[in-house]
Amino acid sequence: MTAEVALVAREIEAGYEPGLPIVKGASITVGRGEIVVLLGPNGAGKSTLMKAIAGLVPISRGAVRLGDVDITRTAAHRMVRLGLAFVPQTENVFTTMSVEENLVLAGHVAPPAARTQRLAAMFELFPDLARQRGLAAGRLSGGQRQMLAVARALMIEPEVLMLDEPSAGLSPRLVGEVFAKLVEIRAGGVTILMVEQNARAALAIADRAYILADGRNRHEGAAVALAADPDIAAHYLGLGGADAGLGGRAAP
Amino acid sequence: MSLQFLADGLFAGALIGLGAVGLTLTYSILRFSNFTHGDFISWGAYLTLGVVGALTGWLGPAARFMPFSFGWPLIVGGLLAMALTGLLALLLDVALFKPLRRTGHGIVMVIASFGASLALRAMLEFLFTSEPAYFSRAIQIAIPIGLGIRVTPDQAAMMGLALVVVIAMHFLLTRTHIGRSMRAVSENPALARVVGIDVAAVIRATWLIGGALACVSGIMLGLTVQIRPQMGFDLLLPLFAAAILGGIGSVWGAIIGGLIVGIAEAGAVQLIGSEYRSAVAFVLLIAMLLVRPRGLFGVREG
Repeated sequence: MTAEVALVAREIEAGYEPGLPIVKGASITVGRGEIVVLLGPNGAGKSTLMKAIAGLVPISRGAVRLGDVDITRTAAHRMVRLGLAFVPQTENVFTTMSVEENLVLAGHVAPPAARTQRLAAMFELFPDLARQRGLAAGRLSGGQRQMLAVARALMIEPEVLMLDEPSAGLSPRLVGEVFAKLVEIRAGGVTILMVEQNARAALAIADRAYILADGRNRHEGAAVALAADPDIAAHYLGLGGADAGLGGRAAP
Repeated sequence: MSLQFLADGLFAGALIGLGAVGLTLTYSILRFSNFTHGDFISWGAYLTLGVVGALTGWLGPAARFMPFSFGWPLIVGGLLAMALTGLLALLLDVALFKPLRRTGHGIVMVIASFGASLALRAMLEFLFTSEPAYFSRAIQIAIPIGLGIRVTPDQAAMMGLALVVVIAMHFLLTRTHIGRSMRAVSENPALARVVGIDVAAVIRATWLIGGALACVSGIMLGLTVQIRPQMGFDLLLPLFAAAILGGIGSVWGAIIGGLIVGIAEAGAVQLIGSEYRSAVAFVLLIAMLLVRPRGLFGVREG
């Protein structure tokens, strides 16, 4: 674990309606260069916590810091300029726009001179997308769409990349591909925070994990330790069992 | 039978299409049916009339561009009025729609726009009376262009203008950041915010552009027919028909929808009589909603 902190969310209370918090005091810390995964049962508030950090759900209590910058009240559209990229779980690409348009649109926050070069870098990282650059994103397969959503987020060269269930709806083989890409992206210096249902596969590539329940922290620790804990496995990792075999391929 | 209805229909269709482009953009980005859009057309025509009057009053009458009925004051005045109509739309948003948007009830906005439409129209009647006004009283000779079709020089010029505006809109939406941002907000506002788009700025741009396009429709109609406070409101049904026919959010859809409505109306006048003209847009609208609710070029929801 690195000493330098990339993202801190402290005692966050957040929800869609005033007085009805879904996240009830959860706290997370992500060190620079780490992959941290948020686990927990449905309704634990994982996605809401991610959206609250991204500025999409109002935070009623607590504070979020990105590096040294307080982003608790920062509008969602300003986050990319501060170096925080978010990939929502569903509807995470503009289906009526071409692959290239999706990337160009996101790359607009970059200085004009850097845009073409970043686009080229994305097509190099995701050769599948380069072959389909003119295709409407709505016609991509599920896996390619997820890759496009990740590429779109990387166009801003983020410090921190947040992903809400990047494996949702993907076949085990594609989950392996997406996770292998995430490991590659982290190797490039990007800090990653993600929510996953596919707990075993996620723990296999993560450094640390938080387990949330009812909007609060329940467990936290090194990914290896949590994966090995029989108590945790029985309570929280049961659904991921079928994908356990992925660990060997995706691990760094 | 004479093919004149085709020329008349194409012209009316281009005018309806331009109005419908603004309507379809505000509809898809702001998610409500804006009944004031017709009144932006009327205001665009009167603002042009006002600016042209001020220009010729200040600098003296200008020569016409033969064979057209207008000279440079209409061109300069039209451009200024486009900006002013855009600002009028923006002002209405800041004063009325923006506070209501926070309530999150689309139907409140629709009813409010209906009220604003009445107010805007009443203001024009108060300022200019309901007597028709004209940009020019010069007589235009319709020139035969073959197949028994005749068009006036002004109509030809306005068709050219409509074409230029539509092509400019196409490039705006496909090649510029603000255009792509408008398409992004129209498809998925939450994702648009995530990718760094300032949705409030996109909404402002949408009103400015929608107002300016409505003004162009107003000039086309004012130059070739007449200027009346009711002129835009009377176009509202064809505008909605064109926008829905083409598919909400689609610029080319709105133009093609406009042309279909325009030609169908002109054809109906020739074939079954002018008393059924206004029923045509209704019939097309209902047929489209029954057969293909998302329109010709619309995207399926979800």
